[in-house]
Amino acid sequence: MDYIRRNGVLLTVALCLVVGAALVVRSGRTPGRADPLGRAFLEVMAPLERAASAIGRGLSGSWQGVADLVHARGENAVLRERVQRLEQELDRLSEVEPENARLRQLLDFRQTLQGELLTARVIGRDATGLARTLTIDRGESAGVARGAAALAPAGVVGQVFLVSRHAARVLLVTDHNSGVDALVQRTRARGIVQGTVDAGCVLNYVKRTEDVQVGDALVSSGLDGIFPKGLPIGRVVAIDKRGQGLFQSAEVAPEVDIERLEEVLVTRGPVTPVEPAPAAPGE
Amino acid sequence: MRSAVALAVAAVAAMLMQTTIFPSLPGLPVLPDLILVLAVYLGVAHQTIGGAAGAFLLGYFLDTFSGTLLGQNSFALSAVYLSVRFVARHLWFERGLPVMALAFFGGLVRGVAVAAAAALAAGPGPNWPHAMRAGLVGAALAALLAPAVFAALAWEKRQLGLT
Repeated sequence: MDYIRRNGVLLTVALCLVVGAALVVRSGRTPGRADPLGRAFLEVMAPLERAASAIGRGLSGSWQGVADLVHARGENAVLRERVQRLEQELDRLSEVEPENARLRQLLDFRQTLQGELLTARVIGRDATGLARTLTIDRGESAGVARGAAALAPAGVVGQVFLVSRHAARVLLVTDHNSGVDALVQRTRARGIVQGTVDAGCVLNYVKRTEDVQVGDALVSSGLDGIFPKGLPIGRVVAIDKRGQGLFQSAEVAPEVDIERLEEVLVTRGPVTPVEPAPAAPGE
Repeated sequence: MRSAVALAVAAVAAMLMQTTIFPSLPGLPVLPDLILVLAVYLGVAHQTIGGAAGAFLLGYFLDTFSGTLLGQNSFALSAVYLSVRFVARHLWFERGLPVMALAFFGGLVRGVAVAAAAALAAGPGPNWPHAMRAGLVGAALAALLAPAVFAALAWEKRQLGLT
């Protein structure tokens, strides 16, 4: 008893290390995540993140404004002040225009899919940068479920892996734990697009005999039951046929600009691409 | 109790900055990890059972907002707490360069522990060279930020009448 009292801190740390390691092992073996404490953290932080995210966007604009001002140092004081004022006004207005364009794009993209989809705003990004994840402002209350696909007009974004009542986290296709069943659009060769540690993607498990070339577009195969068939994933930028194995691999540039993503569409249930209308006779 | 609340508020503020403000600043190659600095602070200033549990909870909090592997940061920040506590028991750290050195050390420990946890998961975790590179940059950033975070925590404690 005396030993425990004297070494209480060390024993607590040892217990924490063991619990942490056990959680890692368990979490590594089971897909998705079902930790109630994590859900509670996510739920509590969602409204704060939403507010802070707006501040962050404003800060980013101001940051840009400051940079512009430094470049304009050579101009006289009156003009500089006027430029600053106009730029602040422009920043405010120009934020609305791209947002409208993005939402219009999202709406157009939504028309190309059949099924239930909802729009979600990106309110946070990965806290360490070691992984590639996003936090979105929709959760169970909006019908978002674990495993749902997150999409953007440019293509596949990722998959929801943790959901709370009003927020959810998305594992991006560029994360090293991510994998999407893919087809080479030109030849229909099949493979898996996986994220890499440096936020890129690689196409793996394509038979060495298949024809894959630099510039080939990759689309989702729909066979993983998560992403609708035919959505763009990325483009082949380099091919690697080294080694003696059965497969070749290729470096892939993702279609979606993950860093600039502000809104996504999230699937609620199965979603399929809209079939193109048959051509009218004589057309 | 008030000390725990003060730390929880600091953790929430740090997490908000890490997930929303820092990513929106252009030109940052690696995100500064304020939560790591908080764990280092616990190792220096709270060498108690509560401090150890706090470091674990900070890690769990970080796990919720980073990556998919639950337990990775809980494990890593517990290891950071243990190492920092060991050093801080023999030397006195409060501000300035010594705090920066300690935060750098904590950052390195975290880098190794994160990579070890990823290997433990037997999944496709970050490879060692990448993890070490990221750990080194993260440690340098943590060292740069540590004096400011320590000062902010001291200010918060003064406001709450804890010192």
